[in-house]
Amino acid sequence: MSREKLKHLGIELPLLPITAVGSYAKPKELVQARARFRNGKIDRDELTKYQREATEMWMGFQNEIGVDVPVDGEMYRGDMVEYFAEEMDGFEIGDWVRSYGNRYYRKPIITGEIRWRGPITVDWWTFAQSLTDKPVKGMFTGGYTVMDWSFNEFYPDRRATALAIARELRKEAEALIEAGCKIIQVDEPTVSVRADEIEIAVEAMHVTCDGLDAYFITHALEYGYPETAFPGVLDLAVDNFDMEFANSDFKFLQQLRDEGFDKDLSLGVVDVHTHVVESQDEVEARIRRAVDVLPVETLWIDPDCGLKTRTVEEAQAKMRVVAEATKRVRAELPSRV
Amino acid sequence: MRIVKANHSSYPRVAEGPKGQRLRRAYAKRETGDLDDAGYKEVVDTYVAEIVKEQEDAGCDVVTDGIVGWYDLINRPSTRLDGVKSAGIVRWFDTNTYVRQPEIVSHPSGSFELAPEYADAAKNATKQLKAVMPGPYTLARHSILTGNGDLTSLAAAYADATAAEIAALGKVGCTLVQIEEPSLLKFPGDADVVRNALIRATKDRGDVKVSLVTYFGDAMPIYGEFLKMPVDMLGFDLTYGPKVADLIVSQPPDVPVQLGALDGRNTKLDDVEQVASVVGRVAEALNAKGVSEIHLTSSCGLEFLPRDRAKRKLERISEIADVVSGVNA
Repeated sequence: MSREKLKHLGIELPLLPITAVGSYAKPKELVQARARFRNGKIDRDELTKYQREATEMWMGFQNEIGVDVPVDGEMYRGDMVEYFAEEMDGFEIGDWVRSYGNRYYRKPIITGEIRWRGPITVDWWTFAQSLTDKPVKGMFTGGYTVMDWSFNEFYPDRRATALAIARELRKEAEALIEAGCKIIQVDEPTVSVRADEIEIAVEAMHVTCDGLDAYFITHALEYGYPETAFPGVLDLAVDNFDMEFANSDFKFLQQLRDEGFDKDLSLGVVDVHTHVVESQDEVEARIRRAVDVLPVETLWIDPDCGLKTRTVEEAQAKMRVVAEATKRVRAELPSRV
Repeated sequence: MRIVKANHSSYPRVAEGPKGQRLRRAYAKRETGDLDDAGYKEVVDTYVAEIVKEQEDAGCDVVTDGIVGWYDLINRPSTRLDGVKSAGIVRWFDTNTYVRQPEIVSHPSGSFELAPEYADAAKNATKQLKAVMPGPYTLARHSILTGNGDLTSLAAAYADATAAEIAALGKVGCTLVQIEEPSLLKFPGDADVVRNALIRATKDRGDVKVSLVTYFGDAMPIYGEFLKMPVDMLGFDLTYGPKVADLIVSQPPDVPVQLGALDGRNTKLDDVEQVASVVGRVAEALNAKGVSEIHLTSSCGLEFLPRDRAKRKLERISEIADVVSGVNA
């Protein structure tokens, strides 16, 4: 249980804290500004203005619906790996490759020694934190995932690559903590993909997080094969696992209990890859399924993944359902705990 | 020994610049209703023509349509069948890509409807155009079963659709069909299920040659099972299973092999001499067995690479094949 750790950090959260995974949809104005920036029609300062406005919009929205641990929404990022590759030495940004359906990203190519040039997300975290009294989650992509989602033309093997990136990302974690961030999410969505490399991911997470005074979350185990990743993945040195459950119809919930899962769990309760907005009853039922199986004081509630692939309207509608459903279940809890 | 320079299967769907983005944009417009199916097909057709030429320019003897018009390898064929609908996404092996799962709502039947697409693509090819489709077992493994369905029965149902599709492809001039069964390497204990499904799928293939291709795993532990498969060519991923090449040398099959010897997942260009040495050893062993052909490819489809790098991989295949052919001349 990590409530003691949160308390030590000066953070008190209600039961079933509501959070978001990281990204939100970019407003149309920002999408257009990004295109104009790419075409050289506006400068970075102008783009930053749009990014700040969008961040303010999402922070205001989260305050309005009662998100307990808000996120900055990643209005400044394109892709979760490309963005960090652009901000560190050692990467070239490659051409487009496909993710799924009609979604594409620029996959970085590692061509030299990777080096952290300076804080990457800290200014955005600081700005977001200035807009709320709630603890804003700091977020960056972990060393294993950056390695896995990059081409490698420099390091001798995958382990050496992941550890080199993890060492540099530790500096980002330290910079976030220095700025006052107490809850940090290290995104590692690929750890469930190669069971034979769990040890590398675990080692990389140790390199990034060990000994740092923060509550660490990892967004992991999405759309992969969690059954093959257990129990090794539970050695990841974090306090909270964020997992998709809606898309996979909660099929790993029982397995988590059977494996003696002893960390906090951020429970994905809405599918982020469909335009359909779930009903409140549906989401409440999903939350109750988890509450019936795992200790309620260990559960956080959020969508399956970032909401950047939805429209602003869809993302807001999904978050409203998450928030309202959570509050309704929370109201029942005194009689259930 | 003929070293056939071949594209593995898929090919990138985008490239730099507006022209390179046209397929992606057309897809988005179709999703929002701003482009109808006919308009989308027109864009797919021009894109396929372009990449077929690109493969030929890179030196390929065997080209594909890159399966660029499909949503993904699993969803497109399966959901054309009656009794199958689209569901959520699931990660495609250990890649950063996803496929949308088919959900079985009743016994699957009907046609994958691939032959018309093949016929359209073939108009652009001056070299052999290979048809590519997922195998019945991999389709079944990626499907969501409901009710009392079981994996073996579902694989059999997909095999029946595959058999019909191979026959239809033969009628429009296709001479080589690549059946992809990467799931076999993930579940090697199911080799019997795969074999039985392939017996069913290939029984009426006539003059059409059928290859069984696996990737994203090491085939070494079940190499013997491959030798019992009812197909005309066997394809292996040598990046995950480099020692498979040794097995081919020591226990050569009776049929040609497709050597996935270049890394289809990394931009780094493979060393010519190193790969040529492996291909040369395999060529010698197959030659002694009376097998006269090796298809040299990347380890998997090239859709995982940026398009400029994909083309360079094909050019590297040509360079390596030329070296091997020189060695064996």
